[in-house]
Amino acid sequence: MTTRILETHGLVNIVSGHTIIDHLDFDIEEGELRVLVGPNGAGKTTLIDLITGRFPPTAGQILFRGQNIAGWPRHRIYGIGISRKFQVPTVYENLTVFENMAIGLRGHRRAFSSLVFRVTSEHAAQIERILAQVNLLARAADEAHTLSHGEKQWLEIGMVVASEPRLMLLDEPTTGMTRDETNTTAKLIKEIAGARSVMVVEHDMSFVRQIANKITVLHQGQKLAEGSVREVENNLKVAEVYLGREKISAAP
Amino acid sequence: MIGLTGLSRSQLIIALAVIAGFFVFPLYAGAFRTDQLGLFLCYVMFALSLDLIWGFTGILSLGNAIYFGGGAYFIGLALKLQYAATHATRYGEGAIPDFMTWNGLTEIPRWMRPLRNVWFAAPAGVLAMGFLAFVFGVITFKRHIYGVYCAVITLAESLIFEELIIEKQAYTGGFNGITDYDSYSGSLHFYWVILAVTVFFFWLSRKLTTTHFGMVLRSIRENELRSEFFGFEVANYKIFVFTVAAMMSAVAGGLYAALNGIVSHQDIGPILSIEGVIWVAVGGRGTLIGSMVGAILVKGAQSLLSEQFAWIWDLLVGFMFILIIVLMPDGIMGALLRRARRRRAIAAGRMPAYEAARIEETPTT
Ligand SMILES: Nc1ncnc2c1ncn2[C@@H]1O[C@H](COP(=O)(O)OP(=O)(O)OP(=O)(O)O)[C@@H](O)[C@H]1O
Ligand SMILES: [Mg+2]
Repeated sequence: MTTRILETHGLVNIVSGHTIIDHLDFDIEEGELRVLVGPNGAGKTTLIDLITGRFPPTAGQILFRGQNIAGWPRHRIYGIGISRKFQVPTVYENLTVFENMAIGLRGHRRAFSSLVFRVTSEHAAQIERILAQVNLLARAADEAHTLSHGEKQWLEIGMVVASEPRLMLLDEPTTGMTRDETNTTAKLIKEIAGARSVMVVEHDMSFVRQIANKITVLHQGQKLAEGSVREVENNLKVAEVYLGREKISAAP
Repeated sequence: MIGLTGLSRSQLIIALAVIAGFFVFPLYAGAFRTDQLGLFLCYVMFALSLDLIWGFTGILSLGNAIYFGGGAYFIGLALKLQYAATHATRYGEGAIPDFMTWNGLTEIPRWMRPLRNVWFAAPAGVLAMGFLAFVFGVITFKRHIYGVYCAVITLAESLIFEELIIEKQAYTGGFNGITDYDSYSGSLHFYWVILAVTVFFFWLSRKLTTTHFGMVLRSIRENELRSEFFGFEVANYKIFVFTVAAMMSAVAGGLYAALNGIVSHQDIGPILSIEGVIWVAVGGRGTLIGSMVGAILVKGAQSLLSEQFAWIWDLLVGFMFILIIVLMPDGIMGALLRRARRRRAIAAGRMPAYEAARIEETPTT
C-alpha cells in the first residue's frame, strides 16, 4: 500500500463571497510526480497558497503525512518539508545567483543561528551541483535581475531544490521558456522527482505529456477528472470545460 | 584576502587611511572644527543604524531619532544632575537642576536618582532604548505592518516622544531642553572615543551584513513573502536588527549629548529622523559606507553653507538633495558600485556591453 504525503479533505476557500476552492478532496502519494491542470482561475494557485499557509482555508483539512497543517504559519509549513515556486518567478533580484541559492539552502532559519552560519565549501559544492543541474553555473556571480525570464524560473526551481523539501509545489515552471528550455525543464523535473514528491501546475500539454503519469484537472475549485494523460485527454467533461476545443491539448 | 574585517586588502588600506585621517584631524584643526567633526561622527553612527534597518532590511523607519534622542536625554540628564549637585547656574541655586526648580520640584524624583551616576545612566539608556525598540518592533512586525504603514507608525511614535519631552518639562527641561552642564566639548580624548566607537559600529555593521544573517536581511528587503515561504520568520529578523540599530542610535545620541552640551526635543523628533533618511539616500542605501559619506556630506554642506550663505543655505541643501536623488537614484555609493560592477562584468566577459548598460539603468530597490 502506498502512503499519502498530502491529503485534503473537504477543503474550502471562500474569498469575499466567491468560492475559489469548493469541497476539494485531493491527494498526492509519497514519491509521486503529479500534474495539476485546469483553465485560468480554476484555483490551482490558490490550492498551493492554502497548502503553504499563505492564508488559512475557510474549512476543511490539509493533512501532511497524516498531520493537519491547515492554518499553520508559513515557516512551520516550510519546516516540515513543503517548498513552493511561485507562478511568476520570484527570486531576489539584487542578490547574486549564488546568494539566492544560499538563501534557499536548508537549515539556519532562526535569526540567531543564521548569525553564526557560514556557507562552507560543502554548501558551495551543493549549490554548484544544483546550479549545474539548472544550467546556471556560469551565471553564479551575476545578480538575478540580469537573468532572462526562463533562467529566473530555473533559479527559483534550484532554490526550491536546495531547500530539500519532501513535497515540492511548482506553479507553472515553464512559462516564458522556449521549446528547448521547456524540454530541459521537463528532464530536470523528472530528475528531481525521483527523490521526493512533486506537484507541477502547467498549461502546456506537450510538456505535461513529457513528465506526467497522473493528471488532476481542477475546475471551479473542484476536481473534474483524474487519471493518466490519455484518460484525461479523452474525458468529455474535460473537453467541455476547455470549450470550443476538441482536446485539452489545445489549451493555452 | 578576507580577514577579520571581511574587507579586501585594498579596501582595508583605504579604511585605515580614512581612520588615520580622522584620528589626526584635531591635531591640525582647531577645537571648533574638532567638536564639529565629533558631532558629525555621531550623525554617522545614526546613519549607519538607519542603513541597517532601511538600506539592508527595507524597513523605512521615520522614528530612528527616538532612540538617538532617548540615549541623548539619559546622558544629558545624568550630566545635568551631576552638575547641579555642585554648581549654581545662571538660573538655578544648585543641588537640583534649574529647570526642576522652575517647575516647582524641590527635590530630584526618587526614580531619577540613579541617573546621578553617569556610568549607570549610559548603559541604562542604551538598554532602555533597546527594550523600547524591541517592544515597538514586536508590535509592528509581528502584525505584518510594513512599507508606508510602518513609516507612518514610526513617524507617529517619534511625534509622541517629542511631545512628551516638551510636555513633561519638570523632568526634561521641556521646550528649552537640557543645557548648562559640563560637556566634553574641546576634549581631544573624547573626540577619539567617539571615533573609536564609530569604527567599532562600522565593524559591527559589516559583521551583521556580510554574514548569512545579512544575506537574509537583504532577501527580506527584496521580497519578504518569498523569504517567509523559505521558512524564515521574517518578523524575528526585523525585530532583531531594529533593536540592535536602536541601541547603536542610543549610543550615538549619548555621545552627542556629552559633546554638544545641550539636548533638545529636536534630537528625538521626526525632523532628525527624516534628515537621517536623507543622508542615507544621498550616500546610497545598503552600502554602509554610503550612509556615512551621506551624513558627513550633507551635514558638512549644511554647516559650511550656513556659515557662508546664512539666508539661503537650507534651500541650497534642499536643491542638492533633489539633484543627487534625480541623477543618482541609488545615491553616491550606489552609483559608484554599479559602475564598478559593470566594468568588472564586461572585463570578465560575463556580459555584453548592452546588457551591462541595462544594469546601470535598473534601480536597486
Ligand atoms: N485575492 C483574491 N481576491 C479575490 N479573488 C481572488 C483572489 N485571488 C484569486 N482570486 C480568484 O480566485 C480564482 C482562482 O485563482 P487562482 O489564481 O487560484 O487560479 P489559477 O487556477 O491559478 O489560474 P491561472 O491559470 O490563471 O494561474 C480566480 O477566479 C481569481 O480571480
Ligand atoms: Mg495560477
